[in-house]
Amino acid sequence: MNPEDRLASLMRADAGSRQPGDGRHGITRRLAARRRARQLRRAIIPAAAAVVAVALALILLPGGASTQRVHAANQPGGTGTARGTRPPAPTTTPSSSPSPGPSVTSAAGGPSASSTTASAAATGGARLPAGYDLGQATEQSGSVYATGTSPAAQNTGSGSAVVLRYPVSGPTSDGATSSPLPGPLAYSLGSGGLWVVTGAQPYASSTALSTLVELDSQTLATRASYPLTGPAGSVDAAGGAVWVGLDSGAVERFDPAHPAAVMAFPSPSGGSGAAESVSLSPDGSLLYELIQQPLAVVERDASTGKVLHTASLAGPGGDTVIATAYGVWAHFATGMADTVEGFTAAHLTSYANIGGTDFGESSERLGDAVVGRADGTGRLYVWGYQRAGCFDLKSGTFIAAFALPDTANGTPVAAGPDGVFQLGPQGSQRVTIPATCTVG
Amino acid sequence: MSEPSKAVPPFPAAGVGGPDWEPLYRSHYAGSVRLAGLLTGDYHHGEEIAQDAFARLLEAGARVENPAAYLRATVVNLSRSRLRRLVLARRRPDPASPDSPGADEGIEAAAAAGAIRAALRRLPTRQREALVLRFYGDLSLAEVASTMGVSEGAVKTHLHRGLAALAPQLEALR
Repeated sequence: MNPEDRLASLMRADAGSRQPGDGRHGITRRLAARRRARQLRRAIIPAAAAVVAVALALILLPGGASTQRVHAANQPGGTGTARGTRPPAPTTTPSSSPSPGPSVTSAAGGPSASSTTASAAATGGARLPAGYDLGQATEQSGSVYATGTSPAAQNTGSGSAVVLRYPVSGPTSDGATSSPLPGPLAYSLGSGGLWVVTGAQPYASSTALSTLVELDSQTLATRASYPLTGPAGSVDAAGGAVWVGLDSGAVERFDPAHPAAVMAFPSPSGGSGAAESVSLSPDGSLLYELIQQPLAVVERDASTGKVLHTASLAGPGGDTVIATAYGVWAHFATGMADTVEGFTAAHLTSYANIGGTDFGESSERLGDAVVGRADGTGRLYVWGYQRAGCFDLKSGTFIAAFALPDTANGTPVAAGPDGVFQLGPQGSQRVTIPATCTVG
Repeated sequence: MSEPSKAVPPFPAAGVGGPDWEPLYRSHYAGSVRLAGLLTGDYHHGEEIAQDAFARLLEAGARVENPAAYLRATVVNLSRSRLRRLVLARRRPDPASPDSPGADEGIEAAAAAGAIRAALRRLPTRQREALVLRFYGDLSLAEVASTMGVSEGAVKTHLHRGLAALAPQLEALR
């Protein structure tokens, strides 16, 4: 064998021994990061140009300095233009609020002025529109909920998406599909309805204003919609309220009984990234945010918005934060892989770190879900492409692993009080889990 | 307890502003990982580089006429950049040129590589690229030259010198 053939043979043998994991999640995340960087550049360059123009004006126009400085101070901030398009609303600060604290905003004219009463009806049965892809799912109240996202919404962040409800038992025709909404979507079930944030782009900042939409949790018919003060990416309906995380890192609180009333918590000091995920503690006293820039979990007093603790996450981007009675769980990327890290509630001290190797799976795509009980016990489920594992919610200790029936890439998994389910075009499929994973 | 949920973006679907991504992914992802792994000496780097290359391809979309060639060139360029960064990260007082022999010795500790990758890593970057693209990628001289952005004559020189440098190792690996 000549040297060329020998070299080719050796290289092929070496490379052939390497079986790469599924890279789709990593590719999608890197693509989103590139888009976000591009959006930031688009926002920064005009602002920098404006600052240079103002500086030149200060030099060339004697006497105009004070006016120009005020103008320049308002220029940076790429979303300023978008916010300026929102109809003005009177703002009042409650006298009981400490400073700095939340601001309370009442939309002019009450709910009818700020909301759009729904007329769009949902369709009967859970029917994923052709070409749409199922997103992350949750199981709650006897139904598996998931988003269906159009290719345009996935690729450009501007397209339609729907919410689907699959019954845990029974045909998909007993489920429901919402009317199309501007996608991608984030949603949360609780506080009397299913609450959806439109234009929620994972891992990316948007310039379009988002809307909070209230759906009937059974029929998925739209009840009402409320404009938000900026682009938003996350929502948690809990504690009798609806919490919306904005791309600015700020959080807005809606009262379902008076949805026009808004309590706004400003962005955490030093943070500039989106509130990718928000979660209220079970007792309603603490609010947790996963912010992207710098990547961290932020703990706030839920009544004042004051930042109490911050825990940095060692990774380029995060997905989810889930507050439980025994800990706060954050799901984020660590480069090529994903991890799920547990922190003590109230102090955010790290006490558990879970990767795919804990249950024999690639760490490139991990999902997470918590099934908790009122007494605080429960299970943390973490899944990859083909396998999933359940962990003790209190200690983070691994309990058991099990196989997922549908190994198609990215097939959504939902864990909830009724079990673990995997979604496909034909509906939800119950996953057989070890008895030790069942919450007693 | 209510559990917040967010739609994780699935892999971009077919026919949206560009080539049919899924077949492209299936046919080229593993190969891109392996190519980058051989070029950098580390398949973990290879996965990151391949994902980055695919993200750039998806971003470029329909503007790319030959996605496979675009991917290959991107993988080569990203591998080269990765090696440069690794060398610089070690803050050598007098970092050698990436094309100089021994420039990549610093990455050896970071990679548990096979014997052939260890031998390839000792080569100058251009020689390694030429050898991997020609004999692993099975590309023509013209394709190697196009991917590397050099002339065919330069490719022949890199191949000749690379093979000569590897001859003792190839003999030892028999």
